[in-house]
Amino acid sequence: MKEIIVAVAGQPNSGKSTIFNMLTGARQHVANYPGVTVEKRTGRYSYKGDAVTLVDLPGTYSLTSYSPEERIARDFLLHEKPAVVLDIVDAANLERNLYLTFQLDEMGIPLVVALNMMDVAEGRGLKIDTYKLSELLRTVVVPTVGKKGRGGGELKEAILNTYQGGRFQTGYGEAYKGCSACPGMSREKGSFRVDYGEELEPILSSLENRLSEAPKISARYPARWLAVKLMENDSEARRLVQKAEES
Amino acid sequence: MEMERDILNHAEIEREKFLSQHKTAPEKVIAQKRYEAAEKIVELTVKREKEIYRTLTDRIDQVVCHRFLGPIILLGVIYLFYELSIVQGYKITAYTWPILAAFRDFIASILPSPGFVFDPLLRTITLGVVDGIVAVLNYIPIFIILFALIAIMEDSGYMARVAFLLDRVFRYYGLHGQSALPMILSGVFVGGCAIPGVMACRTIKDERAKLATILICPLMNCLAKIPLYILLVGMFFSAYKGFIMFFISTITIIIALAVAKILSLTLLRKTETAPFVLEMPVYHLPTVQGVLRRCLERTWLFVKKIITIVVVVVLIVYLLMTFPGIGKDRRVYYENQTNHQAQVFFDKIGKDNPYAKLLGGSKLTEFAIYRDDYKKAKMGAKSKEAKRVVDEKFRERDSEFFKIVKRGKYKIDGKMVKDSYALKVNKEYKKLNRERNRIKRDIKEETIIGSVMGRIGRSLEPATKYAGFNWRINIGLISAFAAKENSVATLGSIYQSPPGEEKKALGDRMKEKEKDWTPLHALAIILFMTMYPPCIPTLLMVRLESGSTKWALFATFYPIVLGSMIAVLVFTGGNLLGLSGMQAMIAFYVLALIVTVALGLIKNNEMSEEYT
Amino acid sequence: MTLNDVKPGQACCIARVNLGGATGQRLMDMGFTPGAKVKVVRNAPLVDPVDLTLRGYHVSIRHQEAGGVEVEEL
Repeated sequence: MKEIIVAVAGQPNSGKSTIFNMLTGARQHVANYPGVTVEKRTGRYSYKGDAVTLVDLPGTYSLTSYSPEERIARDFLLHEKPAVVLDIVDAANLERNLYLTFQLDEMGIPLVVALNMMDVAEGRGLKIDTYKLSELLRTVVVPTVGKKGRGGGELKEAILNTYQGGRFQTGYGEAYKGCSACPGMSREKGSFRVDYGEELEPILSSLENRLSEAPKISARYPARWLAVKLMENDSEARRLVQKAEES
Repeated sequence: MEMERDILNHAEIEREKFLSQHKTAPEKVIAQKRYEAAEKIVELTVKREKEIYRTLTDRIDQVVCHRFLGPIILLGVIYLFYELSIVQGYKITAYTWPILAAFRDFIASILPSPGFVFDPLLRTITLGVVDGIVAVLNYIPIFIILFALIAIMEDSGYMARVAFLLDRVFRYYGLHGQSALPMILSGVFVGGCAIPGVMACRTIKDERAKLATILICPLMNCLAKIPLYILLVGMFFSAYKGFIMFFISTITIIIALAVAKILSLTLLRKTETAPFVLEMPVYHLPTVQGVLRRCLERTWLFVKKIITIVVVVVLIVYLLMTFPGIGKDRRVYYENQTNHQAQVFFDKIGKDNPYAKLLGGSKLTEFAIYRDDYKKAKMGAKSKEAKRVVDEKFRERDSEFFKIVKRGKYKIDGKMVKDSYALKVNKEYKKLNRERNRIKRDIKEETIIGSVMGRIGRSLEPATKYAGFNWRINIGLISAFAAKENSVATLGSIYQSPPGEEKKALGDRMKEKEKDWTPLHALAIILFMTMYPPCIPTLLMVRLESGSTKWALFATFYPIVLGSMIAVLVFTGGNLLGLSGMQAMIAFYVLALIVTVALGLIKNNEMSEEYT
Repeated sequence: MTLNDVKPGQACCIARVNLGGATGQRLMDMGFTPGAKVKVVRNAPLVDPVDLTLRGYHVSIRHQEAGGVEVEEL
C-alpha cells in the first residue's frame, strides 16, 4: 500500500476547507508549521487500496515571498515533494484564481484542479466549459460543490490517476496539441505555459538554460519556475540559488 | 559555485536592462501577462448566460457598509456577541457548575478528612489545585459559544466588512480593522475575557497589528476584575457608581490604543506589516458542520493545554500563599485556644448530659464534619422532597448526631420526641462553632501574612506606598495573579472582622482597618487593576498565538510597570495637587485622552513603499 | 489621474501601478494590472478604505494605495 502525499492549495474563500473536510472526514490532525503560528492541517483517506495524506497549505492569492503564508506554501511544495497538488479554484472567480494556478503549475508538480462552488457560479449566471478549461490548462479539472459534498469521488479518482502519471485525456481521446487562437498559451514541452511576452521570453529562456546546466540547482528546482522568480526579483528564490551553491 | 553566482548576476543585469529599456519592472509585466492569459482562458471557457446586476451580497452590503446603518449594525452585532456568549453562556454555566462542583466534592471525599481547625496538608493543597482548575473549566460553555460565533463571523464573510468599517480608526494606532473583534471579546464597555480575545487574533494577517492586538487584549475589561472594582467603588464612590464604571470601562480602551501605538513605534517597528488589500467575499451561510468542527477543535485544544499549565501555576501560587505556615508554637497557641473553647462547651452542656460522653475526644471533630456536611446538604436541597431525602441520609449516617442537628426534635417509632439535652447541645455547639470559625480565620490570616507571598507583599511596601498600596493590598494584588477573582477572597482573609461583628461586609471591614484611606487610595488600586497582567490561561494563549515565550513574558511584565506608573501618578500626583478622588479621576482621564489622541496623529512608518 | 479621483459609481481602466515592493506586488497579485477595469463602489463611513470591484469580485484598499494606481477613463 503506497502512501501518497497531496498538497491542497487554493486562494482564500475558495472553499478549500470544505473540500478538505469532504475528502478526509473526521480523520484530521491540526498542528503548527514549525516555528510559526500558521496552522498545518493534515488528513487522510484511503482510495482503491492506497493511503492518501492531504496536507492543507495556507490559503494564498499568489506564491511570492512577501508573506509568511506564501513562504510556507512554497517551501512545502519545493522541499516536501508532494506527489500531487490539488488546487481549489473558485468557479465564480476564475480569472483571479487562475493567477495562482499558473504559479502552481510552474512548480512542476502534477496538478489537479477542483473547480469548486459551481453552484454559486451557476447562480450568477455563469456557465463554464470544464472540458475546454481542462484542455487549455492541460490538467484534470473536476467540478465540485464542496458545501453539498459533490465531486469527492471524482476528485479522488483524478488524484489517483494523476499520481499514476495518467496521460492527460481530453474529451477527444488524445493529448492536447495546441490552439492557435490562444496567444497566451504555448505548446512547449506538451505542457501548459504562460507566455510572458516577446520582451521577456528570450531572457527567461536563456536564464532557464543556464539554470538547467547548474547541476545542483536543476536537480532540486524547476528551471522555468526559478527563472521567472528571479526575474520577479524574488528574494527567497535568490537565497535558494545561493544555498544550492553552498551545499 | 561560479555558475550560481553568475546566474544571479545575470538575472540582476537583465532586470536592470529591462527596467531601463521598458520603464517597467519585469515583475509587473509578469503579473500582467499572467492575467492576460487568465482573461483569455476565461473568455474561451466562461459564458455569461444572464446579466446579474445586483447580487444578494451587493444588496446586503448596501446596508451593512452604509455610512450610518453600517456602524449601527456593527454595534448591534457586537451587542449580540455579548448577549449570546457572556450572558447566555453564564446561564449555561449554572447547569455545568454542579457537575464541576460534584467532581470537586468527590475529590474532597477521597482525601484525608478535615480536622477541627487544622486540615491535613495533602487535603488543602489538592483542593486548592482542584478549585483552580474547576474555576477555569467553568468558562468552557462561554468559550464554546464564543468560538462558534467567531467561526460564523469568519465563514459568513462578515468579518471582512468589520475590518472595512473600522480600519480607519484602528490604523492610526498600528492596529488593523480585524483587531476589533479580539478587543471586543476581551471586554469593551462590559466584562469580557481575553482568552478567546487573544485566540481571535489568529485571523489578523498583518504581523505587526496581530502582535500589537495580542499584547493589548489583556488591558481590556476582563470579567474577573469586576468583583474588585465593585468592592472598591462601593467603599468610596458609591454615590458616583455609574460614572466611575463608565470611567473604568472606557479608560482601558484609551490606554490600550495608546499602548498599541507606542508598541508599533518602538518594539514592533521592525515587524512585518502586510499591505491592506482586503477581499470582501460573497456572503454565504456557514455550514453547521464546519462551525461545530472548528469551535470544538479550538475548545479541545484549549482545554488540553490549559489543564497542565494551570495545575502547575495554581500549585505554585498556592504554595507561595501557604508556606512556611504558622510555626509550631503558634500552632500550639491555636490548639490551646481550641481546647479552651471546647472545654467551655462541655461545661455549658453539663456533665450529666448523655451527649457529653458521646462527643468526647475525636468524636467532637467527627460531629463538626457531620454538621458541616448536613448544613451544606440542606442548602443544596431545594424541594421538600429533597430535604426529606437529606434527612434520611444523615439519620442513617449517624443516628445520634442526627438527634443533635435536628435540635432534639425527631421521631421514635413514629412519635415526635422533644429531647431537651440534644437541644442544649445544639445551642452550645453553635457558639463553639462560631469560635471555631474565628480561629480558622485567624489561622488563615496569619498563614497568608507569614507566607512567602505575604513577605513579598510586606517587603514591597516601601515602594508601593507611593501608589497608596499598603502590604495587605500588595498581598491581595499578588494573589490575583493566578486568578483575578482571588483578590477579593484574599482580601477577605486578611481583613478579618473584629470579634463579635462577623457579618460585617468586607468593604466596611477594610475601611475600619484603614482609617486614613481616601478615595485616591481606591482609585489607584482600581487603575492598577485595569492594567493587571493577564491570567495564566490568557498568557498561554499569548504564547500560542505569538509563537514566542518572550512575548508572553513581556505581556506579563509591561502591565505591571505601566500599572505601577499610573497608580503612583494618580496617588502621589493627586495628593500633591490636593485633588479629591473624583477630581483625580477626571484629570487622569483627560490626560489619557490627550496623550492617546496625540499619539494617533503620529505617522506610522508603514507606507514607506517606494513609488516607482 | 489616480483611483482616488474616481467617484463612487464610476468605472475606469488601469494604466499603471506606481507602487513597488510588497504593496505593489500584492495589488498586482489581486488583479490590479494595466488594462484591468475597476469600478469604485463606495467609501467606508470614515472615508478610508475604499470598496472596489474588479475582475468580478470585491476588494478594498486604502486611499494611500489607491493614489499609486494610475487610471484612465473608460
